[in-house]
Amino acid sequence: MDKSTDSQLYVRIRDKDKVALEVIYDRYERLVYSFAYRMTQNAQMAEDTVQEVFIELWREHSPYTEDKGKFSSWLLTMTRNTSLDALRKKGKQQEVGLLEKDTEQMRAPIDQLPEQMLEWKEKGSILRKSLERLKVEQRTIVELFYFHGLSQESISTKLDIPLGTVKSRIRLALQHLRKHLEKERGISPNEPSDV
Amino acid sequence: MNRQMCDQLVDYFNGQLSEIDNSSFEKHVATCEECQIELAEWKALTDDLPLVSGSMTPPEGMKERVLNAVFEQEQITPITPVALKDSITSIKKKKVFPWLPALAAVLMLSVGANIFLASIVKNQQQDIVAQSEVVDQLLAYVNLSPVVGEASGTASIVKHGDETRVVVQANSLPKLSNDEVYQVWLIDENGPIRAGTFKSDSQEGAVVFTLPEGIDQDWTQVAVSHEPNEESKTPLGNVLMASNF
Ligand SMILES: [Zn+2]
Repeated sequence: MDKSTDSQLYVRIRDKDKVALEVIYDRYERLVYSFAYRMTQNAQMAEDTVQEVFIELWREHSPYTEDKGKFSSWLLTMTRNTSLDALRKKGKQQEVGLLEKDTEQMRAPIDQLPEQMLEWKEKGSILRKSLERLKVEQRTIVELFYFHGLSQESISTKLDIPLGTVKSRIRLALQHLRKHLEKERGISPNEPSDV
Repeated sequence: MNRQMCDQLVDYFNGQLSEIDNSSFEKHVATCEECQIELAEWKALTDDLPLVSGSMTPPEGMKERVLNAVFEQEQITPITPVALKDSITSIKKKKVFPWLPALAAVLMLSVGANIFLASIVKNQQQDIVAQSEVVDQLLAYVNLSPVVGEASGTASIVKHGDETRVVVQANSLPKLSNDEVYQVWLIDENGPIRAGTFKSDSQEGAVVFTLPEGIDQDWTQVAVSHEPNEESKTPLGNVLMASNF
């Protein structure tokens, strides 16, 4: 397996190195696909999103630079935006169902997966636990805001809450999520919870 | 501070603003500390959220379809087919070649590269059509896995009217010296048949061969080897990459 860092590979991709693109593809295929599937809840739309993301990456319409943060975060932000675009185009943004619970799916043998997959898996399971600890209203607003990418107005209508409170509720939900995460990770076990 | 502007943060984050509103919000953020902090915080808080998606197994063949689409618009580096004096040499039954058992073992391992005719998808067909506009029908499409060295690529068999063509795309081929060439072999139960010979200065590219009429189409494997010269009638050099059909 190619041990180059993402940034090193990205430099090669800019030089139109197909092998480097393939290495990045292999490294992120599952993560990007799974996230796109989580966003669109549709296998075909998820695959189309993966395709779109890698075409963008190859054609450099929105080049990555290290000041944009981690390459993986940048790639996932692009995946999220592309998924939301796809949902909007299909007019499906309002139709995606609320997921009650995220499930673990890991069928391939570990040694066939990218190295980082273990780290991602661990982080993912901590995140899932933390999300489950949120109150239903808070979990729902995270879902509608982040995974459905709805507008402020749609969220207000859907949840039947005043438009002016949407932003502060999102902020609150995200902050609670962070507290749960910190607790799960054991960073600040003694911090009192206000949930 | 402009409350109304600040309140657009949610829609900005979710790409829900019109182009005009988007750029005026960005101007606003540049001067509004509150929005800057909030945006940075939201980004940090949602950074790992995609990971809740777990790890799903992508649909079969997705990698090929995606990479084909990504590289579709790319100029294919031209590589020169070498004209063969006798373009196909049929090998008689029961003839055994020393490299065949090893190749067979490798091919057994690369079951994942198998793509059966039934599962051929439209995308791949379009991709081949893009390379040659008069293509009628895609009979087979496989990924060539490296055997010796790092070369990899794809091979397709395309029916064009009465003609059968073999399209091979390759990259990371080893450098050629002197009279050395790459040869494409189609293998059936009778052994390997030479489908074509090519050279490339850039170690990558695509090449199309037309097979003579009446050639059996029940190929089980395809392989590309590195030959000392274009005269090899059976594979003499290393098999670089191969796949089952
Ligand atoms: Zn502001």
